[in-house]
Amino acid sequence: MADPREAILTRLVVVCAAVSGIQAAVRNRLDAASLRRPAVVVHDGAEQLLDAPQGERRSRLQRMELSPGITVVIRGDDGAEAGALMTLYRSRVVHAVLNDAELIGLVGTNGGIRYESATVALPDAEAREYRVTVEIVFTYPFYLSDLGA
Amino acid sequence: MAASTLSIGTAPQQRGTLTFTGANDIGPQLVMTLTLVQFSPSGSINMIGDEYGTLELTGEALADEDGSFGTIVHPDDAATTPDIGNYYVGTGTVTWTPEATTAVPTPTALDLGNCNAFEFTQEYESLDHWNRRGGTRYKDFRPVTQQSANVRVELDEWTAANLRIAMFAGTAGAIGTARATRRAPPARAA
Repeated sequence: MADPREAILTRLVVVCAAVSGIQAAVRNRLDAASLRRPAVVVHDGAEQLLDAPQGERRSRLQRMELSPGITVVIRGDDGAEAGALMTLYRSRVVHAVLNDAELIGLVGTNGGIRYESATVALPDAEAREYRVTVEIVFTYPFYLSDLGA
Repeated sequence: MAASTLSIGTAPQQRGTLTFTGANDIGPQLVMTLTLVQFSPSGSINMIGDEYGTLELTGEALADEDGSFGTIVHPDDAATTPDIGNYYVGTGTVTWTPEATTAVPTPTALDLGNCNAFEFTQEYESLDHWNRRGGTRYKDFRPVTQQSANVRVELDEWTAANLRIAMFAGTAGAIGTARATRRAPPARAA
C-alpha cells in the first residue's frame, strides 16, 4: 500500500473540488488561481503519533493523526451573507469528507475521520473576503513498510 | 415504526451464544464464540447524563460437557513471530443468538451494534499441595479444582432488542418466567 498520508491528502483535495458550488480546490497554495470563489485551500498540516504497540522501538507500526488545514474562502457583500455562505460550504465540505468511501477505506477499521472544529478568521478591513478553517482529523495505521512502496 | 413496550425483569434467563467477529486492520481478525452465555445484572443504566449512554452486559460463559467455554479461531495457523502483523488493535462485531426454546426452535442471530468493549476473563481455583518432608516446606502439586469464565460487553446502541437483554425484559403483558414460577400465598385459615 502507498503512503496513506499522501493518499489521504490527494483524495481530500479531490473530494473538496467536487463539492457542489466550489469553483476551485488547491493544495499547499496561498490562494486559488484567478481568485476564483468559493474556493478550498488544503494545507498538508501536521501528522502526529497517536499510539504505538508497547515495546515497538522502530516505528514499524503505529497509529497516526493527520490534521490538514481545510480553508474555505468565499466572497460576500456583507457579513450576514458571508456568514450564511460559510455555514453552507462548511456543511457541504464536512459532509462530503466524512462520507467519502475512499477516505473511509484509507483510514481503515482501526482509524477514523473526526470533525473537530470550524474557525472563522477575522476579516480584513474593507475586504469582501471571508475564510472559515475546518479541522478534520484523520487517524490511520502507519506501516513503515508502506513508505518504501 | 411502532413503539415497543418491554416489561423489565420478566425474562431473567438471558442465555445464548455470544460471538465476536474481528474486523480490525491491525492484527489477525479473530473469531471468538462463547457457546452458552448467561447474562446477569451488571452496572447501572444511566438514563440521564452528559456522556453517551452505554448498556453494560456481564455474563458467565458456561462450559459444555467437555469443559469448553467456546472456541477462538485464528485466521492463519502458519503465523510466526516476530512479525508486526501479529500486533493487535481490536475492532469487530458482536452477535447474540438466544438459546433455542420450544416457542423459537431456531432463533436468529442479533447484531448488538457498536460495542465499546468485549472483555473475556477466565478464572480458576487450585488446591496447593505442600511437601513437608524436609527442612523447607515446598509446593509440589497444584491441581486446578474449578474454573469459570466471564464476559463483559459494553453496548452503545439503545435498541429495543438490546434493552431487552440489558433489562432482562419480556414483552409487556406476557407472563414471564419469574412470575410464572412464583408460589401462590398460603390460604388463610378460616
